[in-house]
Amino acid sequence: MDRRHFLRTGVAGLSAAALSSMIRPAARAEGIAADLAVVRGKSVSAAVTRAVEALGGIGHFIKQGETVLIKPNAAWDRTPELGATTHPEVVATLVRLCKQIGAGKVIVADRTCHDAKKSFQSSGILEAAEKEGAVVMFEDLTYSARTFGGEGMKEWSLLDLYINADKVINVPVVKHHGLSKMTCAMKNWFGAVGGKRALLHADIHTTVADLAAACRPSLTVVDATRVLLDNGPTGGSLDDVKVMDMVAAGYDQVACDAWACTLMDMKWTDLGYLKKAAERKIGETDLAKLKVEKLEL
Amino acid sequence: MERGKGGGGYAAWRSARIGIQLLFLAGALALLYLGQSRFLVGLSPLLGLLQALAAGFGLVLVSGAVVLAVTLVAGRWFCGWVCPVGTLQQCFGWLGERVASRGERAREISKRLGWKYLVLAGTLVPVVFGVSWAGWLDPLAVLTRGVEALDGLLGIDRREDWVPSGMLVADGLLLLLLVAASARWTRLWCRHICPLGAGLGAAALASRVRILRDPDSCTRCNECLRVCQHGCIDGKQWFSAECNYCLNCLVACPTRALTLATGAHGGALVDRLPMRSRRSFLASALAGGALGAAMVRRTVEVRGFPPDLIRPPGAVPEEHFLRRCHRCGACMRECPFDVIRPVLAEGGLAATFTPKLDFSVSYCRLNCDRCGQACPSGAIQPFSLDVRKPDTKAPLRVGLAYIDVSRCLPWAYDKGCVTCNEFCPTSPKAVKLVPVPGSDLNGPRVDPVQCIGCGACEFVCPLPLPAIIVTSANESRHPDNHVTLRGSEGGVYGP
Repeated sequence: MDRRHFLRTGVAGLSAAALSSMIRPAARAEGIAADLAVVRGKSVSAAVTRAVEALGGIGHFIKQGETVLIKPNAAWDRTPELGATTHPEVVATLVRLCKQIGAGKVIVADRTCHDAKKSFQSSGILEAAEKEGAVVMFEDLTYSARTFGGEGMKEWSLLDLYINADKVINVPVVKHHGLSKMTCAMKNWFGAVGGKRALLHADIHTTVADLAAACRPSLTVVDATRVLLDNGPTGGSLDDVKVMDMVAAGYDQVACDAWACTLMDMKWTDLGYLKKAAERKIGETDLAKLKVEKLEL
Repeated sequence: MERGKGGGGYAAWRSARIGIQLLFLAGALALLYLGQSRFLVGLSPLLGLLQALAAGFGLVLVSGAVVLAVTLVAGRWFCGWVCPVGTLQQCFGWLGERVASRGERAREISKRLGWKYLVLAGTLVPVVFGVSWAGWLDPLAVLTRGVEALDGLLGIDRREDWVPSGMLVADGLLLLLLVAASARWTRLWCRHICPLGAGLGAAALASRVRILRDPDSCTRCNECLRVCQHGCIDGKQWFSAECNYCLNCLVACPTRALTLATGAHGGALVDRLPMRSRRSFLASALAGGALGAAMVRRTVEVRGFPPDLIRPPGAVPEEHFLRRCHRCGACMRECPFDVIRPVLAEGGLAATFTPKLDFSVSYCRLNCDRCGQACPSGAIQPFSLDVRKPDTKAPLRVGLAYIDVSRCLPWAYDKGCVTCNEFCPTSPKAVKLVPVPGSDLNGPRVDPVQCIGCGACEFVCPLPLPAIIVTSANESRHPDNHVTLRGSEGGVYGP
């Protein structure tokens, strides 16, 4: 089974398993594009732009007039340098790219853990995204019940902004998490569900796999500009933060997580939810099977 | 007879009074809504003076001192012209009279005007024992706490996840009742209960600004009593301690028999407090004193460190806290996260209406110092945000979390859970994860040096009765309560 065939069957299987409204797989660009682009550089904006270009450009994912939901991790009332939230410049650059290609409404939303407004303010995402013309939404978010049909999550409520968007871009930050060891792309969907999320921790690896199977973004951009290596997901001390100046972009959020865990000195097999993702063919965990383009700016 | 016919220029003064009342009411609300509650509370000489006496130091707020000085010289103008609670009652009394259209009411001067002096006496004497509950009934404190409660209950200017809690609801009801009652019994609160009014009334005895009655032109029509919301004047007598100079009688007098003047006795003047007997006053004072002494004893000597009395960061040691705290609710009003709520009896009776952190409704945020800024009394001292940094080596602690492993999901039920650890704001985290014996799971364990008692873990625990609970142990302000800290681990002690 070659890679493309593998991906195609994976996508098809998932389409059957979850509601069609929740799945928006992007076809892989033919020819030049990579599956996963990793860019290292001091300029966050340039790194994001270059990573997306390496996948075939933003126009490959977003079409004119489409409503785009950008889902960062803005969960905590923490300043950007502490690495607990997505770097505001990563979000702002994606908003700018979407706007340049002629997207309709670009929405930035997250269901935070700390007070929504404070989290969006402290993380810098509110100001940066609004400056580029995004609609930033964090208060009075609404959710609708959806059939997840997962192994653990059968039904749960999902952010209406997610359900109604034409395209979704997942923009997680890589960081330590006490229970799941690492939170990045797949676990970022905790910020898109309603209800009592604390209950989703009971069997977190199954839940994260279920979420990733149901919530499939068109594009994932991973913020690894600075990585919180311990005391996550909140952090609070620069001692735990390592500046890495890296950004990755990929079609497959599972592959993104498989790459991200290497930054924290782990293998994908160290993470329960990535093992589940591999078993259930939610995405590709073996980076050797993918075309990974590494760039230095 | 036609109203407003008399007056001799007093009508303009009365209009000015109404304008000034509305201005001060608007000003009071502005202070409450613009994060400056402490200045509203500062207007009360009762709180400033009594609390200063109770605390044994000379903090008398300047604005309160000005109010007292004006009263000594010119009478109880504060109640009629400035006090926002008086104004609210005046408005509702005015509305009540019109809506009920009861027309001319035959009234007499209330026999119960003396009650408030008993309230005052019961408030004064406990000061000797270092406790004052003036704030329970001080109108400016009642307004601050009441607005805070009603705001939340009505969903104005509050976070969407605001939750009511017992004593705060009582505060809201108190303000509502007080104002509503004035529509039926004008200025019921001012006349019968308000200890601030009583104190100012007593001070007003020294004033020489009086309403004089010309006995020759007075026809004893009692129109003055009919228009007086306070009910302090009739054809026979006028109580200088009760009059709040609303000027209604001067405007309404059909024969212009009444004038406002300085000077000697004006025929109908009663220059004493409207008390039934000195004996009842003394009895009340003694009762208040005994109760005060008992309260302090129960609170400070017997109770020790109540586990559920988590004071805001920056709170001074309990003994001093009880003396200083105005029970005004300014900290509750200004807390952006609504975690500060009034105490019922967790700290003994003397602590009723004082603030505590209630982690069933919210939790204390590290990057916040509002309560220290908001407190007008010094019960909560201003504190630096440096002692609130997640990775500070000398944190300001309000309590310590403990885990009930007989309930905690990973420990008791073999279910994965991490919420307390996730939300723990310190770095390194005070709530660590350690392997649960006989299970693949990790469960929480509290590091007693890292934990500052912010209550995030207790608030976010998914169980209805949290498995992680904060008690007052290790609070910075009480070194004797540092049960798991040793020596230098104590960090900063209460200021």
